[in-house]
Amino acid sequence: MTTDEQTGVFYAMTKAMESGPHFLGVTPAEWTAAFVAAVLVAIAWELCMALTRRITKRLPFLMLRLARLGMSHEEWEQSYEGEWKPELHAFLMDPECGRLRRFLRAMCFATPLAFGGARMAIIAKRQSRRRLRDWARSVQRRTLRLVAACAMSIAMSAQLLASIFEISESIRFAIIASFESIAVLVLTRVYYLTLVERRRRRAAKKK
Amino acid sequence: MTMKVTPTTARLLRVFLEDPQAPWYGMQLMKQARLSSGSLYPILARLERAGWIDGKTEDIDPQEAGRPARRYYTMTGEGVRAARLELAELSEQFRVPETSPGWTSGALPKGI
Repeated sequence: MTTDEQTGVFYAMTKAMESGPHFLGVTPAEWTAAFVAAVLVAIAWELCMALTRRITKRLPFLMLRLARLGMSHEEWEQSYEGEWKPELHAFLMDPECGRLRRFLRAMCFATPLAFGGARMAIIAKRQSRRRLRDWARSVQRRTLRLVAACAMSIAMSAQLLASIFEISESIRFAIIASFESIAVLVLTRVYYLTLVERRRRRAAKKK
Repeated sequence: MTMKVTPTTARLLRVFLEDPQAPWYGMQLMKQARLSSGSLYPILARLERAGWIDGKTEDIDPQEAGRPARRYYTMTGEGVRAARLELAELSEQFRVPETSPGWTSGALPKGI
């Protein structure tokens, strides 16, 4: 045995005597440290994966929520809860794709809606409502004009009725005054509605 | 009710016309017509407004199904008829004229 070999054997014996038994050349203390480190790394890995899963599932929903800007609460509820949310679920649960692809496709679904698509869809839906509203307004104005015309004609014919049925002067005056005032009030309302409509049209043209 | 049929709308209508009775939901339509959500939903709103398609929410229990109820779209009878007419008209507009220049297999025009 050479001197170097003797030194090596001596070193190993000394170490074994100092720290007890060995396994695969590693002390129990080092095995314990390695085991604790492995457990910690595994926990950290699982936490990261859980966080990633949570983010990849939630990020498209958060992106889609940006579409809420510029929409009324009712429109948002109707479109998001009734249409877009189930679609986003369908993208995120699609069994044909892997997790990353599902996330990317969900983001591809949410992003165009968040940046203009949702607003365009709402405008397209609103146009039919606007037409209905415009029609209702025009009917309202026509009805009010008819009421005013009726009131005016009754007021004007009161004079004739008074002469035929010999109604007293005070009653005749009361009939004329009441129906004329009704006609004036109704016509004022019609004029106001017309003005409001004109303003609305001008604002719409400016937009 | 009439509506303007753009090439993008035509792509969507072709998907619907593959099986006019079949109900479709957004993801299927996006995949089949290769449209983005930003294009799809405004078109669906216009088609629904025109009465060409009918949107109905799926009748399921979300708790049991494990997912929210989807909105399915089906073509109406009027929609099928109008869509076929519009697509035929659009196809006619984009048809290559018979008197095409010389890169077709026919005889070359005079002077070339």
